[in-house]
Amino acid sequence: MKWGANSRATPYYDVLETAEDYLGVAYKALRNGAMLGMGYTADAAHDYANKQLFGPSGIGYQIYTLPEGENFILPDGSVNKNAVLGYNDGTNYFIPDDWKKYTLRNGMRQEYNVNVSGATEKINYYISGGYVDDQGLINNSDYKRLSVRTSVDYQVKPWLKVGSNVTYTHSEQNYPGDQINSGSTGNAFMMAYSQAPVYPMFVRDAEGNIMFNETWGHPVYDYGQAQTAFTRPSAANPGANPVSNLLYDKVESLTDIINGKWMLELKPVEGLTITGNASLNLEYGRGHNTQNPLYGYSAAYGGYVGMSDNRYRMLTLQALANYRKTFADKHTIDLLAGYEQYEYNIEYLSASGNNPYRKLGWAVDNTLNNDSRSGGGSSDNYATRGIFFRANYDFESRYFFSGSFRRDGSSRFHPSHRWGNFFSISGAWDVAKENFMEGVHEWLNQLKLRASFGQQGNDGIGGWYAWADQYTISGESAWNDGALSYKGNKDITWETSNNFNVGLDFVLWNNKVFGTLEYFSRQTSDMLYYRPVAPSLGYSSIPMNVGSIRNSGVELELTYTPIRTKDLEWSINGNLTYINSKVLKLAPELGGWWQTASNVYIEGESMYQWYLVEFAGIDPTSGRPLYWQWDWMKNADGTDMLDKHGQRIPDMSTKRASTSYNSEYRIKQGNSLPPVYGGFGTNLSWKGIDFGISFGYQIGGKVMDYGYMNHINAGTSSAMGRNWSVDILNAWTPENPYTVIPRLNNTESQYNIGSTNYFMADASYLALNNITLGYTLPQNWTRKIKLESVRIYGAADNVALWSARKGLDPRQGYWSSNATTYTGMRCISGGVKVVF
Amino acid sequence: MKALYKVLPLFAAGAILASCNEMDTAPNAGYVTEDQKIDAIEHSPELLAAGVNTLPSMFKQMHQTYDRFDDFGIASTNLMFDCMTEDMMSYNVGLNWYAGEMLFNAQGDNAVCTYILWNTMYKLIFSANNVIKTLPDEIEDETNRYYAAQALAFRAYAYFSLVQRYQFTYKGHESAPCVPLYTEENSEEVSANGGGPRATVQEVYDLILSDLDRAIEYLDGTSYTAATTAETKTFVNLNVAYGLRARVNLVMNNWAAAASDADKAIQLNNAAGLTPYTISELLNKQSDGTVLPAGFTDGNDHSWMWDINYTKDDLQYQWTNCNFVAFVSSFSYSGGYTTLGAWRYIGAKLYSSIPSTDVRKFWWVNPNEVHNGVWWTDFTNGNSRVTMPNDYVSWIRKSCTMSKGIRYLVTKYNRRDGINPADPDMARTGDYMMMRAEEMYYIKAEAEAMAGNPSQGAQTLRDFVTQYRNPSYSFAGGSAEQVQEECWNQRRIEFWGEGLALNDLMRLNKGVDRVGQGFQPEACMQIAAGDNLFLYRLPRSEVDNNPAITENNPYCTAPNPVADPTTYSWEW
Repeated sequence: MKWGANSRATPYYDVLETAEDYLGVAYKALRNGAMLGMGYTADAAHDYANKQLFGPSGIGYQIYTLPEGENFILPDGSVNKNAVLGYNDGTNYFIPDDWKKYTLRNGMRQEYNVNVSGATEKINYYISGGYVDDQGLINNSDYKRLSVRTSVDYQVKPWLKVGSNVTYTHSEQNYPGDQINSGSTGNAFMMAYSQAPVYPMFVRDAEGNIMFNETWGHPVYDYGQAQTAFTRPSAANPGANPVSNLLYDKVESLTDIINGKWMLELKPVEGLTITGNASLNLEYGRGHNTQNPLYGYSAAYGGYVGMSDNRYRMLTLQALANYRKTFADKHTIDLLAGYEQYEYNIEYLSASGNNPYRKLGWAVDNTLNNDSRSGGGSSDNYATRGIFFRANYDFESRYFFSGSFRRDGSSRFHPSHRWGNFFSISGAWDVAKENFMEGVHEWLNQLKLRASFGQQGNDGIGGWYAWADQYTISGESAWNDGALSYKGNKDITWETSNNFNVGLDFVLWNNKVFGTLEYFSRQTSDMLYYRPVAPSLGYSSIPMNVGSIRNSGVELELTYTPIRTKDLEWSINGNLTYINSKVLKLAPELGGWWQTASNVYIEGESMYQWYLVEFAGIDPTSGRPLYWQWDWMKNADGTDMLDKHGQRIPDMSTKRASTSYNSEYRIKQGNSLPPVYGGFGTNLSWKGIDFGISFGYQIGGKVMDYGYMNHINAGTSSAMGRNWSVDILNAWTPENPYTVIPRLNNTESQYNIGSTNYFMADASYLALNNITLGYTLPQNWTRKIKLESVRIYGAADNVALWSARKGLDPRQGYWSSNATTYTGMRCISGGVKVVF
Repeated sequence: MKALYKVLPLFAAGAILASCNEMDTAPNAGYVTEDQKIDAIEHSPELLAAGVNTLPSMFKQMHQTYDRFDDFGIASTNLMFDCMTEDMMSYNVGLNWYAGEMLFNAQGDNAVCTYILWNTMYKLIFSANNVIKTLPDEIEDETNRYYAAQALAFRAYAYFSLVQRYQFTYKGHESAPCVPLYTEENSEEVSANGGGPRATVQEVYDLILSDLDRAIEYLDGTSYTAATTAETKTFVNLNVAYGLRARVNLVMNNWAAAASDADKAIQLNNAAGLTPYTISELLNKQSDGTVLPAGFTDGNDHSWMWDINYTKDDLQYQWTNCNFVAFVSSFSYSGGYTTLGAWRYIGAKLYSSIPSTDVRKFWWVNPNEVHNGVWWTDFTNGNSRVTMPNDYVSWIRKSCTMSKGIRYLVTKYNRRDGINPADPDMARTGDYMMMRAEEMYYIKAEAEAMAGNPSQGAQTLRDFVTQYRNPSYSFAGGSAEQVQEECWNQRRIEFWGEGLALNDLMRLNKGVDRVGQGFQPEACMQIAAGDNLFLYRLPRSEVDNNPAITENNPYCTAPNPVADPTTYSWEW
C-alpha cells in the first residue's frame, strides 16, 4: 500500500511575472521596430508602439483601462500611473489570469499491491493483484491501473513439468496525448508556462464576473479567438484552451492486456531437458476522443466523436533442448539448442462523426450519419525466426568458457538479405579460488576476471516492410496508386552490435568493499538509419545500413560499508561511466562526411557532433546578433581547396563577424554526449530504521536548450504573446551596449541565434533522485498479531536538479531539452508493506 | 513409456513446422508494395489508370512535407506566390499562414515555402516519370497516348513552376543555374548518384517545351480535345496543353508561338463551349432582380479549362480548413481562416484603378458603398443601382465588421451557394482554377503586340474586355510595350488570387511597391525588380544531401518596411 503526492519536478525558467513587465518589454520591441524598421522618429515610434501594444501587432488584448487620450507607456518609458488593470469593452471584462493556478495541481497517487505465494512438493503458485490511481499534475488528468497475475508450476511426473503464468492488466488514462508534445496547442503545460502573463483564462461579462455555462456546469473559458472582441496572436495559441478542453471534452485511452506464458518441460534422460514455451501477449487499446460542440476547434462541426481500436497480438513459440553433465566432478558441460519464432500483428480500426446527439456520448452512433461520418482500418504484420546453439564449460568452478551462435531472420528485410549470423564467446577466471591466492584471503575475499565478446542483431528500423517501396492508395471515385509513401531499400540487412567486455569483480577487507571495474567497447556495424537524401529524388530519406560507430569506455562501481554491526549498518555506493563515441565508417557513397541540419558525422570523429553557425556576440553599436564567417581556402587556380571529404576549408585568418546568418558557415560545435555519468548514494540502517539517499549525475556534453530559446526573442510578430525570460531585461540598448542579449525589435529579420550555438548549454547536472526513510516493526511484536513483517516507509522521488540554467533538464536527451512537456513528476509518498 | 520419449520430440518438431510463421509479410492498409500493385492490376486491369489518376490528385495532396495547414498542394503554393506581391494584402495575424511570405521573411533555405514547393513538385515528377516508365515503348492506342500526354504535361507543369521560383526569368538568365532535371530516362541513374546537378534555365525550358510538344503530339487526333466537367477538367486535354505551351512561350518571349498556341487553345475551347464568363453571368442576376456576385469555386463553369476538383469525399473537404476557399473566401463561416482573422484584401491602389464600369469591381467589397443592400451605385450597364439579396448583404456586412471594416475585401471566391450556413463545411470548400479561357485572350493580345503588331494586340485586348468585362473600356493602344503593360494591368485584376501575379512580375522584370496599397506598416515594403528576394533558395536538405549541388541561390535578408505617407480611411 502506498500513497503519494505529485508535483512538477523541474523548476521552470525565470520568466516575466506581471502584465506590466511584459508590456514594458513589448513596448520596447514595437518602438524599436518602428524606428529601426520603418524609419519613424522617436516620437512617432512612441505613439505607434502605444497604439499597437494592445492591438493585433501587440498582445491583441486590451487589458488596461486608460483615461481618454492617454498612453500606457509614458515618453520616459515608465508605465502610466493612471492605467488601471482590467478593461471593459461594454460586453466583456478583460483581466489576466494566472494560468498555472488553473492548470496545475498537486495530484494524489495511491498504490495497493497484494500477493500470495506458496509451494508444495509438486506445485508452486503465486497470485498477485495491484491497483494504482495517479491523479497527474494537470487538473482532470488521471491514470488508473488494475492488474492481476497468477502463476502455477506443476511437476506432473519426475520427467514432466508444466507451467502457466497469466497476467491481466486494465488501465484507464484520462489525459490527452497532446500534453506530451510540446508544440501542440493542446498542451496545457506549454500554455501555462510559456504564454505571456497577460491573457484571461475565462470569459467575463461586462461586470467582471466569470461567465458560467449552466447546462455543462463549467465556467466559460477564453480560447482567444472568435469569442470576444479580441484575438490572441499566433504565439499565444489563438483558438486553444487546453484547460477548457480537459473539462468540456473527454479524451481517454483504455487498455486491456492479457499476457500468457505456458511451458512444458520434459526430462527424458538424465541431464537432458527439452522445453517448449509459448508466450502470447494480447493488447487491446481503445481511444475515445469526444469534443464539445460549444468551444474550440470542433465547435464549427457541432462537436466531434472519435473512437479507435488497436489490437496488438504478439506470439512467441520456442523449443529448447538442454544437456548438462558433470564429469569426474571437475568438468561441467552445458549444451543448448533452440528454435524460436515470433509474430506480431496490429489491427487498427477507427471511426468518427460530428454533431453528437447526447453531450459527451463517446460512441460514434451518437453522431449524425452524414458525409462527415468516416472510418478506416488497417493491419500490419511482422515476423522473425531464429535458431541458436550454446555451449558452456567450467572447470572446478574456476575457469569458465562459453560460446554461442544464432541465426536470425526478419520480415523487415528482403528475402535475399533476411538472415544474419551472430556469435559470442566468453570466459571467466575465479582467481581467488586458485591455491596461490590462499595467503591473501585475509583481505581479498573474491577476485574474478572475465572477458566476453558477443554479437546481437537489430532490425529495428521502424517501417514494417523496410525493404519495399510502398505507394499510397487513395481515391474517391477512381483509384490513385502512384504517390510514393515509403522509399524502401532492398539492400538493407541486420545491424550488428559487437560487445566486447573485460571485467574484474572483487570483494575486499572482510566484505567491506565490493567493486567492479569494466572496460567495454560496443561497436555497432551496419547501423540502420533513415538517411536523408536530396528531396529532388522524390523522397526525402531511405532506410540504410549507414556505417559503423563505436562507444567505448570504462565503468567503475564501488560499494563501501564502513560500519556493519548487529544494529547499525552504513554503506556508501557510487558508480561512474566514462564513455567515448566514434564514427568508424560511413557508407561509401557518403564519402566519409555526412551532415544534417545541425549535426555532422565524420569518419574517425565523435558520433554526437554539433554542426552549427557560430554566434559571434552582439554588435555593440547596433545591438544585432553577429555570426562568424570567413573566406574559403583557394587553390592556385582560384578554385576552392577541398579536404579529403570534398568539403571546402575555412581560412580562419579571414574570420569575421557578420550581421547576416548563412547556413554555409556551419562549423563543428562540440559534443552532445556527456563523457562521464553515473550515480552515488548512501544507505543507513539502525534497529529497523532504514534511510537511503541516491543521486544521479553527468559531467560534460552540450545540450540545445530549446526551452530557454522559446523565451529569448526580439519581439517580432511571430513571438508576440509568448513570455520572455527575465534575461530580456538585459537586452541591448545604446546605454547597455555590452551584453549577450540582442536588441528588441519588432521588425527584426536577422534573429537567427536559434540556429547557432547561442542556446547551447553545458549538459552537466546533479540530480537528487530519491530519499527513503523506513521503519520495520520488530518481529517479536508483529508475530503476536500473526504478521510476518510490517514495514512503514516514506519516500521522495525526483527531489531536486541542479543544472547549468534554472529550468534546463538535460536528462531529457543528449540532443535537446524542452521544458514544456509533461516532465518527470516529483512524487512524495508513504506506504506500508505487510507480509503475512 | 520408452515409446513416448521417442514420439514426443517428433510431435514437437511437427507442431513447430505446422505453426511456422509467415515471413513474407505485406501491408493490409492504405499503402501497397510494388508486388501488391502488380498483383492488383492483374486482377483488375482498369487499375492501370490509377497511376495516371495520381497526377491530378497530387495537386491537392495534403501534408506532403509538413503536418501544417498550408501544406495542401498547388493552391497553397500559388497563394504563397500571390502573398509576395503588392496585389494581395492580409493582416499579419496568428492564423495567417502566409504572413511569412508577405513579410519576405520566409525566403531562407530552411523555409516552409521552399520545402513545400520543392517536395510537391519533385514528388509529382517522380510519379509522372513512373507513369512514363510503365507505358509500352510504342504508344499507339488512344488510352496510352492520353496517359503519356498526362505524364508529360504534369511534369512540364512541375518544372515550369520550379524554374520560375528558383531562378530569374528566361530572358537574360538562360545559362543561370536552376534546378536538377529528372526524366524517365535518367532518374534511375541520377538517384543512384544521390541527385542531379542544377541544370541551366535553358535546359529546364528545353525539357518543358519538349514535354509539351510531345503531349500535344499524343493528344492531337484523339477525342481528348477539351473537357467540360469539373471532374474531367482535372486532366490535361489538348486545349490545356496548348494553353500551357502558350504560357511557356510567353515567358520565353517566343511571341509568335505564344500567340498561335493561345489562339489554338481558344479555337479548341470554343468548339467545346468553353468561353469566358460574361458580364451578366458575373453579375448573376436573380429572378427577383437582385444580384448575387458569382464566386469562382465551380470547375463546371464554362470559363474553366483546367481545375483541381474537390468532392465531398475528399480529405480536404473533411478537413475543411485545408483548402483554398477556406483561406480566401470571405464567407467561410466560423472555421475558415479568413473568418479567423486572415481576411484577404486587394491592394488599395489596384482597386482604385478598376473603373466603376468594370464588372470586376464586384470581386471586392468597398464597404463604404454597401448600404442597405445597394452597392456600386454608378454602374452604367443599364442599372443605376444594384440590389443584392438581403442575406448576402448581411453576410458582407458581418464580414466587413468582423474584418474591422473598410479595406477592399475579396468576394471573388465566395461560393454562390455558400450563403446558407446549413452546410458550413461546403462553404469552405470549392474547386480551384488552374487555367481559365480568359487567360488565352490576354496571352494572345500581349504576344501579338510584342510579335510586332501592337494595334492587332490592342484590338484583341479591347474586343475581349469590352465584350466580357467593361462595356465602356476604351484602350487606345500604342507601342508594343504599352499594350504589354495594359495587358499586365488587366491580368492583375482578372487573375487576382489565381497564382499568376508573381510569375508576371518576374517575366516582366517588375518590382514590388506596396506604398499606397494599404499594407500594415510592418509589411509596407519596396523591393526592386531583380532583387534576390524574389528567388526561393533551394531547400537546405537538398544542398546538404545532393552531392552534385554545392551552390545555392544568394542568401538575402528580409527588407525593412518603409513608411507609407498615404492617408487611408482606416487606421492600422
